[in-house]
Amino acid sequence: MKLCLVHLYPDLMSIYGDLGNVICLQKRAQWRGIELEVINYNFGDRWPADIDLIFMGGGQDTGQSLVADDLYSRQSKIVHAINDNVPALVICGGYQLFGHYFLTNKVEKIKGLGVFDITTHASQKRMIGNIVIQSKKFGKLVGFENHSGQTKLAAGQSMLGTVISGFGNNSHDKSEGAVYKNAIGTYLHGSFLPKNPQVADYLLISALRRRYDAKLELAPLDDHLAVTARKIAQHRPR
Amino acid sequence: MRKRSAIVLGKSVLKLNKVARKGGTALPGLVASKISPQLLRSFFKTNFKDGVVVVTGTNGKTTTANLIADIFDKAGIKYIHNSAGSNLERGILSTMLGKSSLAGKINADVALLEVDEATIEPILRVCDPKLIVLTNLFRDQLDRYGEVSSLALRLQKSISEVSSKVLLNADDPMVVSIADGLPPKRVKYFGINDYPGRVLAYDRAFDMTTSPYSDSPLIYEQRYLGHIGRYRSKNNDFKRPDVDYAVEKITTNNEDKSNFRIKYGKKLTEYNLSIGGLYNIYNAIAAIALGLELGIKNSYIDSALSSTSASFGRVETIIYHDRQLQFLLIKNPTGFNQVIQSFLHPERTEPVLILINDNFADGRDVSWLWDVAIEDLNKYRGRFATGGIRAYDMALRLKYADIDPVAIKQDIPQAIEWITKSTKPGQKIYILPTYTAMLQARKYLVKKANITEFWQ
Repeated sequence: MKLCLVHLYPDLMSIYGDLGNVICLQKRAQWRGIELEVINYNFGDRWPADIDLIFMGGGQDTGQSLVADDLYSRQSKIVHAINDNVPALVICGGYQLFGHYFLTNKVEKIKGLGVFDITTHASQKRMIGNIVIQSKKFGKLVGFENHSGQTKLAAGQSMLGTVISGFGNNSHDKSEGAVYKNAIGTYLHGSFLPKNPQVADYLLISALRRRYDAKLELAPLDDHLAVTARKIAQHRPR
Repeated sequence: MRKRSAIVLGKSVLKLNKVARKGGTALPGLVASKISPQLLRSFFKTNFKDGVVVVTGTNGKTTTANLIADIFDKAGIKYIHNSAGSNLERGILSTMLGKSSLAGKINADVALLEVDEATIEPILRVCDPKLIVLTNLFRDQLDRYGEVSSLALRLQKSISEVSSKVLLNADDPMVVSIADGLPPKRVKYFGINDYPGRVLAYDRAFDMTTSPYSDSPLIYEQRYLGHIGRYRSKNNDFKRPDVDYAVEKITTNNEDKSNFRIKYGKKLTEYNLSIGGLYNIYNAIAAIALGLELGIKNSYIDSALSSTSASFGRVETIIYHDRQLQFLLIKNPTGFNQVIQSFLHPERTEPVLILINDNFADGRDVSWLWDVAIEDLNKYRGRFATGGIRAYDMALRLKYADIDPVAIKQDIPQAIEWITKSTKPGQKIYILPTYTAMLQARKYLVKKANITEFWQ
C-alpha cells in the first residue's frame, strides 16, 4: 500500500522540529510495510494531483506572510480535500492560516483558508513553554508552544483538547487546537507526533481507510520510548 | 562615591561566591549593576586604551574568542577576557569587577568580549568596539531568543548605531545580510573558497532560503553546512561578497587537526590548527582575520593556532579510567550537525553518549533534536547511548532514524559510568552534551578524576 503526503511550504514553514512530524508519519508507515511518499509543496509549485495526507508546520513571521497568498490561491483544492475526509495536521502558523484570518500587530489581516471556524489576533503576550492537554479522542497530549497569536474558536467549532498546563489557543479559555473532519490544528509543535504516536496512527489509519478499505487496522508498534518521553515531558517546568 | 561602593560590593559578592565554590559568574555583576547602572560604561570609558573587540554569533563564539586570546598571549598583548561562558551583560561586568582596582582601574589594554548574539544591544550601548566578529547566525533556543530573522534585524540595527569595523562570515547569507546599509569600509569578510570534505545528506538547518531584498531563492554553487556555502540569489540581487580573508585550500581537516592556506591581499599564508573539524576552521579564520586587522604579526598568529588546546567542554578530552572521553558540545541543530560532519564519520566505531538536558540555559524546548541530521548517523558503526533529563526524547529521535540506543540513563553520572564500563581501557568515547549536561558531566568527572576545575 502507498500513501501520498503533501508537506506544505517545508522551505518557509518548518521551524521547531516540524520535520519530526513528517519523519514520524513516514517511519510509522514504513515499519508496517506502507510506503509514504512525501511531496514538498513550495511557493508556486504545481499542486499535486492525488493526495492522502496534508501537513503544514509553523514558520517565522516573514515565512508566514510570504506563503499566505499562495496558500489562499489553493483554497478550493485544500478545502475540497478536507471535506473529502483527507486527514491533515497543521501546527502553529499553519493552524492559524487554516482559520478564517490572522490579524497581525500591524493591523494587517492575513486571509486564511477557513477550514477551521477560528480567528487569530496577534498579541503582545508570548505564550511559551511546555504544554499538556487532555483530549477526548487521544487522551493526554504533550508538546511545546511558542506563539503570540490569540486564537478564538467560534461556537460549535470543536477543540483538540482542554489545557492541563500551559496556554493553548489563547491566554484565557483553556481550549487547545481545533478538529474538523480528519483535520487537526494545534499549537503543540516540534516533536508533537513522535511523543503522541496515537495521533500519528490516527492520521495514517484515516488515510488508509479512505484510500483502500474501511476495515483496515494498523499493526501495533512498540511505543515504550514515546510513553516514557511523554511522562517525563509532563513533569518538566514550563 | 556610588561607583566605588558598587565596586566594593560587587567584589565582595565575587569573593563570597568563590568561597562557596558555586561557580556562579553572573551574580556579582548583577549586584553591582543594581547599585551603579553606569558602572559598566565607566569601566569601558576609563580602561582599554587599545580598544574593545567583540565576538558574537550563534556557534563558535567561545572557541573563536579563546583562539584570539591565545594570539594575544603570543603577541604579549595585555587583555581581559570573559572566559567562563558568562557572555551576558552581567557576566561581563563580573569579569571586570574581578580584575578592577577599587578605583575602577583594570590592568589591560584590550577587552576581548564574547557576547551573546541576542544580548549584544546593551553592550553596544555602553561601548563602541574597535572590531566586532560575527561567526554565523542560526536558529538557537527559539523559546528564549525568538526567530533568527528578527534577531538578524536587531543585530543590524545595533551595529549600525556604533562605528566599529565588522568582520563577517561571507559564507553565511544571514550574516552578510546585516552588512546592508553599513559603509563598505567598515566591513571585512572571511570565508572558505572551497571545501573538499563531507557534506551531510540530511542537513536541514537552512534558516535563510531567499534573498534579503526579494523572495528570490538562494542557489548554492557548493553548500558546506546548513545555509553556509557559496551562494547567490536566482535573480542575482544578492550574492556571496568578495572575501578579504579567504581559505584557498584545505590540505588537512580531520578530527585532530587542520592545515589550510589563507589568501589576503596578494599574500598566501599557511596555518596549522591543532583542533579538528570544519567548524573550527571557521573559528580560526575569524581569529586570524581579527589578528591581522589589529596588525599582529603572522608568526604569533600561527604559533597560537598550532599550539591551542580546545575550549572548555568543546573539543576537550578527559581521561577517565584510562578511557578518553572526548567532549563535543551540542547546543542547536547546526552545532550538532557540525559534530556529526566533522567527528562521527560512517566508518568510525567509537561509542557515543548523547546527553540532553532541557534546563533554562539549554532551552526548554527539545524539538530542535528533530532538525538534526541524525539519519546521517545511520552508517556509523559505534553504539549509541543517551542520558540527561531528556534522554528518552533523544532515544526516540534515534529510533526514528532506525538506530537502537543500547542504554538510556537520565542520571548523567550513571550514564558516564555505564558507557565507561562497557568500553575497554584505552578506547575513545564521544560524549555529546548540551550546555548544562556538559557542566554536570564535568563536575562529576572533576570529583572522580584528577582534572582542573575551571572556575578556580
